[in-house]
Amino acid sequence: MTLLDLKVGETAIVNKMAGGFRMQVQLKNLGFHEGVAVKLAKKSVIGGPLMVTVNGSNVAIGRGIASKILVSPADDVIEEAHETDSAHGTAE
Amino acid sequence: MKQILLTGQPNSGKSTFFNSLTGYKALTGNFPGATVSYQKGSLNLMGTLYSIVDLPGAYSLIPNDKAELETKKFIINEQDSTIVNVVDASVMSRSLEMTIELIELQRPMVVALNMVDSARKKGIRIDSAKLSRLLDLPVVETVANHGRGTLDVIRATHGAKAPSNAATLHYQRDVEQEVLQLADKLPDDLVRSFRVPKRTVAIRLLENDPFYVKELKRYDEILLKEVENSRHRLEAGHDRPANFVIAAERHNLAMSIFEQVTSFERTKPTLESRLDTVILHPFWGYLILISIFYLFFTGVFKTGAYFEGWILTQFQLLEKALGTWLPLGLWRLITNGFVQGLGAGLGIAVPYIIPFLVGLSFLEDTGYMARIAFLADSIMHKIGLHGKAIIPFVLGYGCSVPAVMAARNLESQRDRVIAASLAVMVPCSARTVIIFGLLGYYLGPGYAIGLYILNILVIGALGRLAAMLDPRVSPGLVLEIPAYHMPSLKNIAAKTWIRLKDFFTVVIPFLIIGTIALGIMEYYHLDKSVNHILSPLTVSVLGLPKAVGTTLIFGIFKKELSLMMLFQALGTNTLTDVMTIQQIVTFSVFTVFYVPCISTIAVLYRETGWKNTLYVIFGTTGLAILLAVAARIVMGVLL
Repeated sequence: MTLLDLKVGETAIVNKMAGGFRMQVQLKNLGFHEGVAVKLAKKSVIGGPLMVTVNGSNVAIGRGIASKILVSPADDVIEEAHETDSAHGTAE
Repeated sequence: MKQILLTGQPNSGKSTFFNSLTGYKALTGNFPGATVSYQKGSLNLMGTLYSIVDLPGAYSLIPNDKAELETKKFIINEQDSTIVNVVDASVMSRSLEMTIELIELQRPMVVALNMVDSARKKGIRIDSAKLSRLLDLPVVETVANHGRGTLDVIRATHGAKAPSNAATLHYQRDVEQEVLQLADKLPDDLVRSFRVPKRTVAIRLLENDPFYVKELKRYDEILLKEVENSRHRLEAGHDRPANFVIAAERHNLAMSIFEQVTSFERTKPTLESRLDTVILHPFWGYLILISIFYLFFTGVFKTGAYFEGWILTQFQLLEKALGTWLPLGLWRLITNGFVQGLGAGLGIAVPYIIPFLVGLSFLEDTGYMARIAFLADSIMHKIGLHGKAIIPFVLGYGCSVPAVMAARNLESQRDRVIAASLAVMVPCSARTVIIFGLLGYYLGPGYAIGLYILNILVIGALGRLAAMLDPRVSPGLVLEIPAYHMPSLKNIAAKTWIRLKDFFTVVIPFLIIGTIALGIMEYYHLDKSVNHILSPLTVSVLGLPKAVGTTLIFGIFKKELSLMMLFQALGTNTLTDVMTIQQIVTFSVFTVFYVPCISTIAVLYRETGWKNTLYVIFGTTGLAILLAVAARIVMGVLL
């Protein structure tokens, strides 16, 4: 399923961003990475963008791009989720 | 003199930080990409002179758009400066990725942990002492919009050294090894020419940064093979493109640091999210948007018209008085020109421009701008662009120059050219003066609003045409929606003043010289020949008085001039005495659409190239004639 399939208020984990290089860089810049929890905060009119909460900030994403972000549903993930797949490379 | 570079992610408050140090100089805005080119200012702190540079925001040092490229170049070229990394504490996890990239440059650096107050409101608490230890850098908490901590940051730049502990910011073992192996193979003189550390060059090559790859290819093609081999090994081991392997490493490092220094508190849903429920609502959101713009423009008109009448009367009195004192002749013409020029400038422009600029600053500072982009996304797709492209258009209502520059924030060249070319047609504050001061003042606000709507429809139609001629798909919207901020009066006043200053220092002198020049031309009957040459257009096609010819020429220098000099050209302060309603409408339509002013042409040329600029110049002229003739015909039928 993709971001578009989420209902407002639902949280999901990003599995894959199936788009071109630029799109992936743009999304990563704003905190979208595989394994990150995202919440669908707002949905606009048909054809309009989504607003997604990731790491406590809100990002507007057009439908075209949203349809390329594959997610899987996640339960009980807190809103300010900041877990990642593997937080290695500790800086201690 | 020490040079300090303010860098950080978009909308982290660099310009606000800059202003708090150097006095109000930079235009700020609560939306990502408010600053698109650098600005310098100076600060004298305890006898030491600092040159502070405010750079455009960048998510990464591998540039993704023109604004980011400018930042990267500046940082690399100014080797002797200290980097101040401004970090928005409320979105620290992702901001740290940029911090890590900056640390990799191994330069003296200080982190300014900005907006700690809004982070706290969101329930995020950051242990800045620990962060400082982990990064091996001074970390200073700041609230730049209240000027808190900004001077401490400057003090911390003293003795700031390259973060030697950056060794702790290592990637995962296999990736780090690949990086170091490649770094070892890089020849010293090549690395020196890049002026960044070896490890960073290796990372950039693995990330396939086109700049470094191109340089390496020029230098040594065999080495490029080595890079490709390393990349393949990384890709095989991690099952994703090498640049994303590196990006993931940086992300994980950032996350790990973030988790070590942050603690969370549960907070109630903020007012903000409730506000957004209404403001971004599929129905109410648009109603609010239209109401805001309606109130904005009627507010500007009401305030402006109130003062215009009063100021113009004063100047009429002055002119009458002068008429009795001075004998007829050249001197009388010149003083008259001077008084009329100044009167038109102060009486017509200032009353509309001030409320307009205040409103625009307010709009920019609240955070509503990004919401407009959200609401406009589906409409913008119809003209082949996406929501972010609305920002140049909205800024265009202020001035076309920053509007063209704001197109830099768009991802593709095609979007940049289309957005910049269309944004110059949005009536800027100078043309607003014409619409309100002429059309609105003499014929009523209904006409003014009508012209605005016509303008939007025409731009929409042209956008649609551009989308059909060049059907490449726009990359789509990805835009951070910033937190709302209550704009401070001080900041709004400062921004209005920065923008207004240009009016007093450039437009008014221009206007006075222009009106005097016109006075002299009239005296020697030179204006007659200019008007005569233009008369096939002005008189035959548009049906305007012959005397408007010169004003249209002056209007190319500064748009306001076409209206203000109209008074001088026609020798009156009450235009309805000499122009019919039909003529006023035709003149307004023509001046709103025809050729952008010289400054806009220059910036358009710089941003989009001469070919496109020529298209715009001839296109807008043709369009202006077409629309003005249509207006003439329609008004002729109606009246």
